[in-house]
Amino acid sequence: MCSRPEGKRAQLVAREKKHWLSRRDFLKTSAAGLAGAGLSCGTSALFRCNPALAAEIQAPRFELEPQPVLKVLRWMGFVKSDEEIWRINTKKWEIATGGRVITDFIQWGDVRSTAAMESLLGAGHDIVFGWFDDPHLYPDRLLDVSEVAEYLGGKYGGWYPVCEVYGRNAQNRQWIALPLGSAGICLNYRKSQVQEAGFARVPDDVAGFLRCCKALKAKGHPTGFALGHAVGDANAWTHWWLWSFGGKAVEADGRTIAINSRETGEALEAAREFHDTMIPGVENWLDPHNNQAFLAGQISLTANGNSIFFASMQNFPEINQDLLTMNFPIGPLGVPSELSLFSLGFIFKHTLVPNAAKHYLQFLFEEPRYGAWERGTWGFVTPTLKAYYDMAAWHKDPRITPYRECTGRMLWNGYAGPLGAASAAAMSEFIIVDMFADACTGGKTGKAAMLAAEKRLARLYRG
Amino acid sequence: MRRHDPNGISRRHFLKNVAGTLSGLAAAALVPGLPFAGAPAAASDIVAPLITVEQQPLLRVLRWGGFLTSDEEIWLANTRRWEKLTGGRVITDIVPFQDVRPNAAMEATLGTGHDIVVGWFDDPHLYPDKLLDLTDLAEYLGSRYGGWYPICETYGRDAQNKQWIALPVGCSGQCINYRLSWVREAGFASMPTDINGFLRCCKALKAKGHPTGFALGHAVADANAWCHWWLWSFGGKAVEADGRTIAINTPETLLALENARELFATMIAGVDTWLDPHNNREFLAGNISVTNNGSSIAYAAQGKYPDIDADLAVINFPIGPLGSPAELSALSQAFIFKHSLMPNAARHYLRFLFEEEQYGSWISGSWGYISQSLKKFYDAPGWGQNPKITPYRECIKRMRSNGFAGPLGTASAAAMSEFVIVDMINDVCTGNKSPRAAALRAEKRLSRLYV
Repeated sequence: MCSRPEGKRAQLVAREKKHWLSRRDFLKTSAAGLAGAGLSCGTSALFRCNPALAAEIQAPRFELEPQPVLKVLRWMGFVKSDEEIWRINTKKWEIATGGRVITDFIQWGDVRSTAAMESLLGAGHDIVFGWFDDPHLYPDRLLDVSEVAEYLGGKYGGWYPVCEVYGRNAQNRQWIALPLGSAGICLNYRKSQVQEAGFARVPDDVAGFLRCCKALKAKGHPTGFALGHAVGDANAWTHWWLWSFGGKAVEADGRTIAINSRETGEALEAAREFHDTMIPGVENWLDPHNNQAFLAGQISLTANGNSIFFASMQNFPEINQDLLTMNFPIGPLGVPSELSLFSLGFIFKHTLVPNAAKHYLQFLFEEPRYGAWERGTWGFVTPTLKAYYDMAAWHKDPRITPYRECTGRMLWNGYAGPLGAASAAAMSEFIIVDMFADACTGGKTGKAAMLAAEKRLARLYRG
Repeated sequence: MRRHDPNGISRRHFLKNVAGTLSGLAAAALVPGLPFAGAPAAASDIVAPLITVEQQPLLRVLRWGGFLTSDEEIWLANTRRWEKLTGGRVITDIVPFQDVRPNAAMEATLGTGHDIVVGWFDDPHLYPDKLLDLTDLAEYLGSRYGGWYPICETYGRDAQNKQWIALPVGCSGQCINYRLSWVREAGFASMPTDINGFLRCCKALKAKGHPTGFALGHAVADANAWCHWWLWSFGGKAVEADGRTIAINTPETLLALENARELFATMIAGVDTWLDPHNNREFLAGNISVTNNGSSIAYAAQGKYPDIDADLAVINFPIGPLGSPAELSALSQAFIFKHSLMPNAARHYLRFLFEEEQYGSWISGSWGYISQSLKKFYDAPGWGQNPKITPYRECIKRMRSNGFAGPLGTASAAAMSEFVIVDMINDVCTGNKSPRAAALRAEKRLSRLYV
C-alpha cells in the first residue's frame, strides 16, 4: 500500500485502479497490520455494506496516563454541526477515560502558523488538526502513529493512496499524521443552461468540458473560476487543470523543477480558451466570490465545496432545483488528478500524555464517532478511510454523492515532489495560481508565465 | 490584520508593472543600481554602511500594532518617506502583537513570506540561522547614536557567533502606577523605591481600604513583567547561564514567594484571573491604588479621566534584596529573513528607520510607549512632555533578558509562553501550593523545556 511519489503515468493509472482494494488485498493488509482476534466490528449499516469489515481486528491498547489532559488545536468548522458533533464525540472520550480535552477552535488559516510556532518552541498543544503539508514541516517533532494508522486502515477498508503520502514521513515511512479528510471540490453547474447549450450534461473529459463551456458562453451563460488568491477554489481548479494535462511543478526528487514543459504549455493554452468563457473579474476572485456569483445566477458553472449546494437548499430554491454537481473531468493524463484542502491530525512529541493522545485520535476515528460526524455534516469533509464510501448519508441528495469520490481522486500538494517546506511555500505563494492568472489575464504568454513560475519554484525547492 | 500599502494597487499589478516596464514608478529619487549615501549630514564623521538597493524594491513588513494610534501613524509616515527616497514600496501588515510570533515562525519554517519582521523577545533566537547578519548596521547605529543599551546586545546578537541578527527597536516599558493622594493618606510622601518599603506601603494602602492590583492570570505583558521583577529582585532565577542547570528551586525563590504572598494580601479580589486589560480598567475606575503597566494608563487618564490623571504618579519598579534593578519589559526587535529577495533594500529601510529624523520622531511621538534602544534618544524631546511618562525612558536600562540567566532561545520562549514563572507565583498566592511545592512544580516544568 505504500505509494512512493514517483509521478509516472503508468503508476498513476495503476494507483487509480487500486483505489478499491480487492477482498484479498484487504485481508492481506489486515494480516500484516494486526494480530489475532479482538474487537468486534459491530453491526452498523456501514459494516453491513462492507462484508470485508466483518473481519475481527485487534485495536492497539494504550495504557492511559492518570487523569490525562489533552490540549487540541483544530480549525473552526465550516458548518455548525461539525463542531457540535466533534464536541459530543470528545465528551464521549472524556466519559470513557476520565480524561479531559481542551479544544481550541481557531480560524483555519491560523492553524499552520500556531502549529509551526509550537513545533519550534516544543510546547503548546498536544494534538493539532492541520492542513496539507503541516506534518511534513517538522516531521521529527511528531509522534509515530503507525500502529493507529495501520489498525484503522485494516479495520476500515484501507486509506486512500493519497493519505499514505500525506500521512507518512517520506524518509522513514512512519505514519506521523492521521488523515482526517479532504474538503472536497466538485464542479457545480446549472442543468438547464447546459441543456440550452446543447449538452445533456457537462462532459466528463476536459476536451468536452471546454466545448461545453464555450457553448454556455455563446448562449450568454459565462462560467466563473477564481483566479485571485483564493486558497481553496483557485488552488483546486488550477492544479486540477495543470495536472490533467500532464504538467507538474517538480519531479519526485524534490529538486528538479518540472513546470517548464510541453504539458504545462498545453495546459496554459487551453486555460486561455477556458478563461474566454468566464465572467469578467475572476482574476480578483477570492474564495467567496464564485459562491456569490453562482447563487446570484450570474455564472453557469464553477468549482466548489458543497457550500453552494447547502446555501441554495436553504435560500435559493430556484438555483437548487437547477443545480447539478459532478467530479472534475479527466484530461489528457487519463486519470483523475485533483487537489482538495486536506486535513490531518497529528501529535507533538512534546506532549506529556502521548498515550492519551493516541487513544483519543483512535477513538475519534472509530465508526461510532467518525461515522456520526460524517453523517451529521453531510460529508462536508470527504473521508480518508474507504469504508465510509458506502455511508447512507452520501445518498441523502444526489448533488452530495460526487463529493464522496474526492479523496480517491486526489494527488498531493506539490506533486510529484515530496511534501515539505517547499511545497507548502509554493502553495502559500500561489505560484501555480499566479501562473494561470498571468497567462489568462496578466498579458503574459504561456511561455513567459511558465518561466516566471519556474524561477519562483527554483528559489523554493533549491533553497 | 491591517495592510498598509498607500500605493493601493494589487501586488500582482505591481509585479506586472515592474516586470513590464521600469518607467512607471521610477520618478522618485532612486537611480536603479546606484548606491545610497544614506544618512543626512551628521555631526560626527561616522560613515553609514554603503548599501546598494535593488531596483524597484518591494518590501513586505510584518509588525505588531493596535496599542497606540500615533505609534503606527509615525511608523507609516517614516515608511512613506523611505518609499519617496528610494522609489521602493513597502507593504506593512500590522497584526495584534501575539500574532507576530506564530506567523514569523511559520515563515521561517517555509522560507517565504515577509522580508522584515518586527517581533518580540526571543523571536530572532528561535531561528537565528534564518536571519541576515546585521552587524554592520548595528555597529554603525550604535556608534552614531551613543551606543546600544547592554540588554540590546543580548537581544540583538546571536548567542553563538555574536553576529547581530536583529536590531532592537525598543522596549514596551513597564512602571509602577499609583494614586498619590492615597499613598499620602497611607502615611507615605511618595511610593518607596525599595521593595521592603513598597510592601509596607501596599499594606498601609490596603488598611486604608485602597487595595493594590497586579495581574496573576495569563497576562502576557503585565503578569510576566511584575512576576519576573519580583523573582529577580529577591535573587531568584529560572536557569543558570549554561542554559541547562535549572536554578529556580533556591532559598531566594522561596523568599520571593513568601513575600509575594504578603503582597497578594494587599490586592483586590480576582487578580488571579486578570489578563492584560484588567488592571487598566480597575485603575481607571478608581478601584485600585497601585499597579504595574505600560504608559497606556497615563495616556488614557490624560484623555478621559481627569480626576485619575491629577492623582497619578509613576515610578520605576522598586529595588529588592538583589540591590539593583531587575525588570522584564517586552523588547521588540526588527530582523530580516535570509529568504528576502531584497536584502539590501531591507537593510537600507531598517537603517533609515533608525536614523534620528525617523527614530527620534517615533520615540517622541509614541508617548512613552516605547523606551529607546539607542542611548542618544534618552534625551528625545518626547520624554519631557509629561512627568508621568518620563520614568519609562529608564526601562530599557533596568531590564534583564527573558529566561535570565540562561540564553535566549526556544526554551526561554516556551517558558514564557507557558507562564511558568507567573503560574508559580499564582500557585502560592492563591493558596494552591506551598512555596516549596510551587518552586518544585516550576522546576519540573522548566527542566522539560531546557533539555
